[in-house]
Amino acid sequence: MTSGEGPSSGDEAFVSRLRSFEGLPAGPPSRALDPVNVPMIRHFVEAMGDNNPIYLDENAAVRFGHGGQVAPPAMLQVWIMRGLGRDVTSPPGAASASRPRAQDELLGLLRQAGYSAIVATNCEQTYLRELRTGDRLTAESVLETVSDEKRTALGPGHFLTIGTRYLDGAGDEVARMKFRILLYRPRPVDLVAAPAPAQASPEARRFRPIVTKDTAFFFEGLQRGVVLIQRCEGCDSLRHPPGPCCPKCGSFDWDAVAASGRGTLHSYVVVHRPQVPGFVCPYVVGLVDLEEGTRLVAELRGVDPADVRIGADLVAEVIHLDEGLALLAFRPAPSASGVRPVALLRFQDVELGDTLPALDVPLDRTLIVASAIATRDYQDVHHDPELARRSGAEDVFMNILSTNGFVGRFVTDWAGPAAVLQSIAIRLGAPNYPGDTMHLAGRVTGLFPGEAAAGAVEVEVVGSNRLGTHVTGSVRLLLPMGAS
Amino acid sequence: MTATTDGGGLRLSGRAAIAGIGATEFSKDSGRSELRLAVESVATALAEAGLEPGEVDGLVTFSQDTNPEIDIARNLGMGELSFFSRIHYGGGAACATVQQAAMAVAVGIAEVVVCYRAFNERSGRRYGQPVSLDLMPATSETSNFSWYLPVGLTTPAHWVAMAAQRYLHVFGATTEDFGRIAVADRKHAATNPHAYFYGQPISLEDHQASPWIVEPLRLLDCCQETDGGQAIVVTSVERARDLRHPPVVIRAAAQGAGESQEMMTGYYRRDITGLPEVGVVGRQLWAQAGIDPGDVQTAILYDHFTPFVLMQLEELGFCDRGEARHFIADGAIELGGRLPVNPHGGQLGEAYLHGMNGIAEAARQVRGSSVNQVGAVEHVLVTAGTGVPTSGLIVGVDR
Repeated sequence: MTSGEGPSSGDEAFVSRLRSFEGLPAGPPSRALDPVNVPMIRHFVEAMGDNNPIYLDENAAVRFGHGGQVAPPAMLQVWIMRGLGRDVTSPPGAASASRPRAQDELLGLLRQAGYSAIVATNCEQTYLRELRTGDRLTAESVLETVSDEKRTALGPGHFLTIGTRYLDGAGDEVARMKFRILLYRPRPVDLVAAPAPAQASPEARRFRPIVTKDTAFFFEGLQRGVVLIQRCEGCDSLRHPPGPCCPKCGSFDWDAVAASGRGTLHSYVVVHRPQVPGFVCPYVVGLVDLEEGTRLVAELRGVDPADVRIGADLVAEVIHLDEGLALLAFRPAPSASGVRPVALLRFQDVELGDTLPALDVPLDRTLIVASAIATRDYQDVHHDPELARRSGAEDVFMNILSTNGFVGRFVTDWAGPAAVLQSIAIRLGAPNYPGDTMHLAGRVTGLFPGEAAAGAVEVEVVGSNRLGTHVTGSVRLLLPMGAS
Repeated sequence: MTATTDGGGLRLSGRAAIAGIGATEFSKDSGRSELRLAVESVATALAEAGLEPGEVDGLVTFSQDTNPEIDIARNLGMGELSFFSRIHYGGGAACATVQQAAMAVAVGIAEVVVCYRAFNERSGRRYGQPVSLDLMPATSETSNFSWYLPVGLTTPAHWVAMAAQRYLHVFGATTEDFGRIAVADRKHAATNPHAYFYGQPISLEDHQASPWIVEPLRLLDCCQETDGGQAIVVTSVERARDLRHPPVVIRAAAQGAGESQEMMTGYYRRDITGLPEVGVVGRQLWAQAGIDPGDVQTAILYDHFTPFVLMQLEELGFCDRGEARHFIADGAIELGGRLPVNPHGGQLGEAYLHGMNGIAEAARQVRGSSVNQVGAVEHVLVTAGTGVPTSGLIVGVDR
């Protein structure tokens, strides 16, 4: 290497300055503001759509061998989060009521050097025991490593790895975590704002609607993520497709009401030909009876064409294809009542290579924001689209604590309420943006029979969305060996 | 409002007749302009009737046709016209062109009217390909496509399949019932030298093995795309009696749009397993002609897609709702059966001329001159494009 091509002495000095933080405590121990409590658990499981009864039903938790109500293990970090009262550039999980000094100093240095944006990339949690209401945690964090500058899809940046021990009121260690964040230089805003052809979804090539003054409200509603139904102000009847005059009472006055998004399938087709821009054949298009009584046509997603049935319960989802194009789609409702049947899995029921039932998580703006708040993560990129775009993102995106929660839920949906999670390790890739769907798939990769009462199972999890892989992870859990 | 007209005080039934028919060859690449196809077919029809272009005073076509009436008149040296009209809604216009001509003749506005339709529908703009909204102005008509094209329903086959799927679900029919329509059409085309599929019959197994276009429709449920032209000459019954062929008397002619009518996407009616607009047409036809389904010896049913033939049989009263699959069983709609349907091969077998070739076949059946003649024919029923505002005719022998 000739002189002038390597890193400048200034760069070297900067990196060694960063490295001097390695091994230092991030700050004084962080004591949780609140003990483990039911209201926060309720917010969390609502946001994750997790109906495992052991988190909110004391009797069920006893019946399934947990000895009483427990907190979702994936909430570990949430108990220490400081919520709205914190400096937005501090990484989640390392905050405390008193400011962690070394970590703040390190982040300040990076910010001044232009690495002003922050994103979490990895989270590895090991649970030594289940947490119960009343447990009050203290976290001790160490700045373990700071990387050289790395080129990343978001921009050049440094990875910071923080190791944390979680202690209970008695000072016993109850969990451990390694958390990696990336501090990076965001790309210029105008480059991000313009739809980049390389990143534009092929779906954005779909026919665009022709809109008139009579129909514009419907498409504007979709842009805001709402399915609107025209309502006559004269006789309150609903109608679709919209028109300027009520065929029932003759009134020209109308407004629009938001549909619940629930419907049933009246008919459908599976399109094989011709190839249409923005679609991959075969695809399914449905005629949907909304529960409000009107009917409309939309793409059906998340279904195998061979499994489509007239009469199926569906839920709406708005797909944001690009800045100006939002389209309506439907997918199967999770189940008739929204509650999955509780299955009790035993260790001997599981075999290597077993696949977990896939879980599709439709991502709308409400979910992204609600899950960020339920995990007490007020980073602007998770709720403010404008600030998210300035950080180089397309839109607000799901925070890592929520992805962690969904991975936990995905595995316990399969494993049932008797399972005890031992660890969740995840690595994040493509962001989860509103309008997309996270498709979680999993496979059993390890079986460890262990003692008589329980055996450990290792599961590999992959969550994908339209941009690619959102999360890869590994989850270890204990299943009872119980008699048949 | 329910349409039940029987022609009112001024009767239409029996006033006008088809006096001449003429077509180009039916191909996949005509090698000629659409205007030339139109002019050729009109000239052929006039010659077949034994009329000169100068005797024509009216022309009728589809609003979808690209050949203006004045271009036909100018090219053939027709001179002055006193009546010209174009009908909207795609293939739904077919029988309505003859209705318009008959009405003009009946009230004396015109004496000889030619109805025509010509296009390069395979080598030019293909109707089976996705509709493009590019450069379309934002109107009520174009914006209606916006409920379908962006979500992936882009062709007529896609639109029809939605109703067809529901029909299967509600009545327990199968795609083999669709296939029996295609088998009958292709059987008839196989013995019609003018048909594109002359000499190429298919079996039900061929139908079931043909690829999906849009479930539940297979390739062999969908009509052809055709280059060609077809013209029909209409004049008064009295004048027709003096011409070359016996008059094909127009016993009934009707248009129909149903309640909550849409263009191909009538999805918002409570029940989407029928074609109410065909019912509107059928009620008028039976009333005008004073006959019932048992008095028809053969029917030309618009067959751009097979499922709608089943629904038409039900809407027109040949059988009850949901019973068409039983009505067509055992070759009932094939030559020699109870009600031969589309003896020329239909649009699946002969050609897709937007229904106009079916009117010509009805005329041949009444004259007794079809290559697939259905014995002694007194009345033929003809329908036009379905799933859209539509039209129909009953033509019969002079008596």
